Amino acid sequence: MVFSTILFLFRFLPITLALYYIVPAKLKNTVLFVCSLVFYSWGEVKLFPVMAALILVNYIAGLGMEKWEQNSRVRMFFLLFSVIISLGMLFFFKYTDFFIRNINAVAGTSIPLLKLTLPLGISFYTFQTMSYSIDVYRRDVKTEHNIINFGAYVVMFPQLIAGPIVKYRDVAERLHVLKGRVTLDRVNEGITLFIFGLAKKVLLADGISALWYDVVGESGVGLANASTPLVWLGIIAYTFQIYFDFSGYSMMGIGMGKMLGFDFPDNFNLPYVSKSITEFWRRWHITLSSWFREYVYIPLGGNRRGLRRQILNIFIVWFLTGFWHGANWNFIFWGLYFFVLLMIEKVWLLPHLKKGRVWPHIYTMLLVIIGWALFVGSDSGVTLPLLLQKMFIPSGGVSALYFLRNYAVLLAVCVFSCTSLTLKCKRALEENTVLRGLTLSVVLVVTIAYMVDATSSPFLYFRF
Amino acid sequence: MNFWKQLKQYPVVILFFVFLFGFAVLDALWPKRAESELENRKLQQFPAVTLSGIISNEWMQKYENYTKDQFALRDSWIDLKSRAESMLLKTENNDIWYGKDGYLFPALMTVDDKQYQKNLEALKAMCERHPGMVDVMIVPTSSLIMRDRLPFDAPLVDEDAYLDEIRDTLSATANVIDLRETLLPHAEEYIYYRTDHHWTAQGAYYAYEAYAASRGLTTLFDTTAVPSVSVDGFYGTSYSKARNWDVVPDVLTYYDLPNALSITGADGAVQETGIMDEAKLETRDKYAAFLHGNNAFSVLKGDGEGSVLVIKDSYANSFVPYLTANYETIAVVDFRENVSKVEQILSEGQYDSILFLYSFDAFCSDTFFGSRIVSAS
Repeated sequence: MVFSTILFLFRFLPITLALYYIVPAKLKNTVLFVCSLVFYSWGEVKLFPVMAALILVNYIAGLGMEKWEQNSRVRMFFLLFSVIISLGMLFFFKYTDFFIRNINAVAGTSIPLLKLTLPLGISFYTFQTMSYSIDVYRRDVKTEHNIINFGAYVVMFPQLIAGPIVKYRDVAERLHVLKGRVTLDRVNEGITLFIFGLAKKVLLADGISALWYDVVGESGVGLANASTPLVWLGIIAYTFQIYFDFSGYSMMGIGMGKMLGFDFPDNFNLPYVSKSITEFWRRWHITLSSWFREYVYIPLGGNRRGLRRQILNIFIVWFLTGFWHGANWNFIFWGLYFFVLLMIEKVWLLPHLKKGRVWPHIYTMLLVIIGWALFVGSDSGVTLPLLLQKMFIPSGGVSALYFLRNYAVLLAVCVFSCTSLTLKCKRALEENTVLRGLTLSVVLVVTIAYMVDATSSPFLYFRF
Repeated sequence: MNFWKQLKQYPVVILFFVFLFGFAVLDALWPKRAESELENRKLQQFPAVTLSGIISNEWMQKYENYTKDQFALRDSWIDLKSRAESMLLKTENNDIWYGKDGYLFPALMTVDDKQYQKNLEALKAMCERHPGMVDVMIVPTSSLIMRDRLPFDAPLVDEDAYLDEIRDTLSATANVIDLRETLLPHAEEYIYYRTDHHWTAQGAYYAYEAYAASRGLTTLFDTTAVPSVSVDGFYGTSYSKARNWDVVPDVLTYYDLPNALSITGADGAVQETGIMDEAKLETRDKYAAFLHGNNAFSVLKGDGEGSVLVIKDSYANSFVPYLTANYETIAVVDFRENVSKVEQILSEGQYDSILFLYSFDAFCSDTFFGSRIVSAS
């Protein structure tokens, strides 16, 4: 189910919230679990067993590690059991065809592709279940004994499909607060986050994506016909789209988490104001970076085994980050592209960037935009070599003027929404309740109008 | 109670939940509609619950469309969106460009080259099988003829290049009437509807004059001899998409002819009637009144001599009535509704000539006529 639909906003959400608020405290997790399962199964009932198996396996692993507390071999067995199943599912659904294609290409075989439907959000919730069993193994959290509580954590609808990646220990405490879990403070904050997140997705991301699809879409001008300035304008539009789409989803997730009485970690912190790529990755998809840092980089030795080993560790993390984003070579290139940039900054450039005022912003955005070109290279309507050629070898074609004129105001709003000026507005709204109520009402009403007249547009990160 | 006292300090929470729950209930109780006249389409009804529908996920998709299609105050929401788009100073909405003088132009930025080539090849094959017998008229889009009215620097597809290619490819075996030459001198006149992609009766008449001249027909349809009827309040297909709040509705004009029309539907049922479907003139989609819309096969009794087969899309519907002045039998086939091959249709009647009349857009994108005309068998 997509958040930005009438179905979600005026059917699923009010029913779920009403049930959740009305039932006695000890039934809240049950309501959350059941409603979230409906949410998950809505898109593909047949994949329900995948979720059920994942919950069971990790639940049992947690119990096992607790029962054989003293036996490190058995504990290791349970850890491997759960991680292999989680990763195995991710691998099976997401990467099998990629490997078959590559084997076919290299060995000249013709193994048929499986063409499986990717279960929605599998990249996110497998990472979450792994965080649970690894943390139990490390004794960072206590085993969850109640399968409903555990199931409610894994399948919790606000963050199920596109993050933020919530570690079990982030929510374990709130999950066991039964009385007084939902506080008006949280709900109040959650509503603001939810509405602005929804607006980010519907008004900004979907609005500006029309410009990108005008260039590469089926009824657009076509990449081959577009002039170089238009291609740049298109990829800039995509740069806005992916940020508002993804951060909008996270905001909605965090907001609804608050309405349910949970505090999810932040996922975005104005990434496009960064003055270096290093800073960018501290501000973009924060929960993913911190997951890789905690469960891959540090276990591999981090920076404690010398510079060479550190560079190798960073390489592994960025290879995996790229690959996590999609089963295609261009995502691996995209990850390694950032590895190279981060290494250059680490070894040499970072001190210079810190001194600069304007040029580090331009430098960062330019490289980030080129990064998105690599990222979008496997989309339909796009071929990566042609896209790069159009961007870097000036060529004529359909001019950018009409699009610049048509999207001028929206582009300006997008630029504004990427800057720290939004924080000032946020503070102003926090101080003035009337202004806040008024702003939220207008934004919500306009957003609904766009939702009603929209052709369906799922979130970009759903594919991952 | 403590909770209610506390709640008073959070007016935004109250406001949000009153709206969320209130509107959800309102929406559930809102009367359901069969179709949207404004959007000119059928709306999704509540889908019947079946186990197989749920397992295959079809039910969920239909239910989701149902919630959207039947959403309370749907028309007002769409209107609000169109206004918001104007406030963003956008010159388009839902792939309709806003031109000058209230003109709405379908945004045609690209042509599916594969389909276009296929269609052109098919038409060429038919013309080669019947050399000298086929007249070809491709109606240019309103955006090409009225390009002065387009928004600034609108990225129009290079329609001229395609029309040149069509003319050059076919002119060896067919009589290609280049309607650009016919219509461009009249670009300032009301030859296309503002809110619809079709041409007006006047636009079609200029094309008819060109057709008659090119075929050397001496009698012409006399517009002064027949009473003309004007129906205002026509909101066409472009408006159904754009739904612009500052729309200028069109006036639909037709000539009230007594000629008999015999329609064979896709199901084989025959209907004897007149040229205009007057009931359609009462609805929003008034253009569908011409020839009773698109039908598999129709025969119009004319007042002239000989017979012609018209292979066409909907642009021909307002053009065909003029042919009554010249032919005794005007047979009209629309391959979107008709699965027969063209040779079979030709063998069933004695046709003196074939008129192939399509709009540029449909000629490039239509997936039906190619396979019906490409080969003799």
